[in-house]
Amino acid sequence: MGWDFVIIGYVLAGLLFLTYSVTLLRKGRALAARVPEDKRTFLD
Amino acid sequence: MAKPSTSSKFTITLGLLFLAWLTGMLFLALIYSPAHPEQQESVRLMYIHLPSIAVAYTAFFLTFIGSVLYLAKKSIFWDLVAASAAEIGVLFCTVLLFSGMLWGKKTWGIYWDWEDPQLLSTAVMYVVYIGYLGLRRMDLTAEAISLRSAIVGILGIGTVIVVHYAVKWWRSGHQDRTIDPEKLATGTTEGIFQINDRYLFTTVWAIATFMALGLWLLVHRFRVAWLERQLAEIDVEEAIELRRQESAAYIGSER
Repeated sequence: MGWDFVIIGYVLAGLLFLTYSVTLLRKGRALAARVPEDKRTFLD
Repeated sequence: MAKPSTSSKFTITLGLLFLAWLTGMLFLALIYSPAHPEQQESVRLMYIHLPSIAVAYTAFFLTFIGSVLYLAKKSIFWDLVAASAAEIGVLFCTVLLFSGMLWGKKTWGIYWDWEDPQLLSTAVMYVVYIGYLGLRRMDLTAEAISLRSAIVGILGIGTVIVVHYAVKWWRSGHQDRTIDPEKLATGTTEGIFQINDRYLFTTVWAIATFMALGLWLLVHRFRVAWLERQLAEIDVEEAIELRRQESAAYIGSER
């Protein structure tokens, strides 16, 4: 009993984290491409 | 040469480590952990609920530390650490809230209870940190945003303390802290959630997994914030240079 809510919870959490991570990575890539190399500090 | 991004050897290693831990966590949470005698299968929601509050607490504490250090040192680094940590905290708090609501519906029969101090204080904490993020996006100077959000970041820790101790301070339908150092030391396993054996092992594993994810996200979020700040400075420098060229051209044409 309760597997339905377990699946909903895990899928929602997974989607939320995945969407946020992908958005963050894409934004980071777009920003890094615009900032000159000498100003890209804290990236390693 | 690799395309510029916010990834580094550290984040790639941490990301791979997280994926390995996540695989183990899903096995432990969905297969290895037995159903609970009272909560049935919904106990498995605890393996995302508890780690979420652990990461949210850590993130909001980091926001507090970053805010204090910003005020003490006027350091942009700590200001951006505080802002990044707040966003990560809100993200995990979102997972905390909906996983708790789903668990509550199965266990208590209701999604939410406004009279429960633990739930109410968590909602207040959530709103305070969403307000913090809203403040960071206001149309003010960078210094004004940093100063005001540092004040909210320091005061906000009060809501975290209230959430943590709400169960002890007020009568609540919410269970007591699942992993209580005092309980662990005495071996007491009383409460709705019998935290022992497979439940405990899975919970600790899940917390480590979520902590790795939280750190990975935090590093990337900080780097995005840092790049945004650098870009804003470049834009200002370029705008000043453009104005200089325009006025030089205007003065030249007047002569």
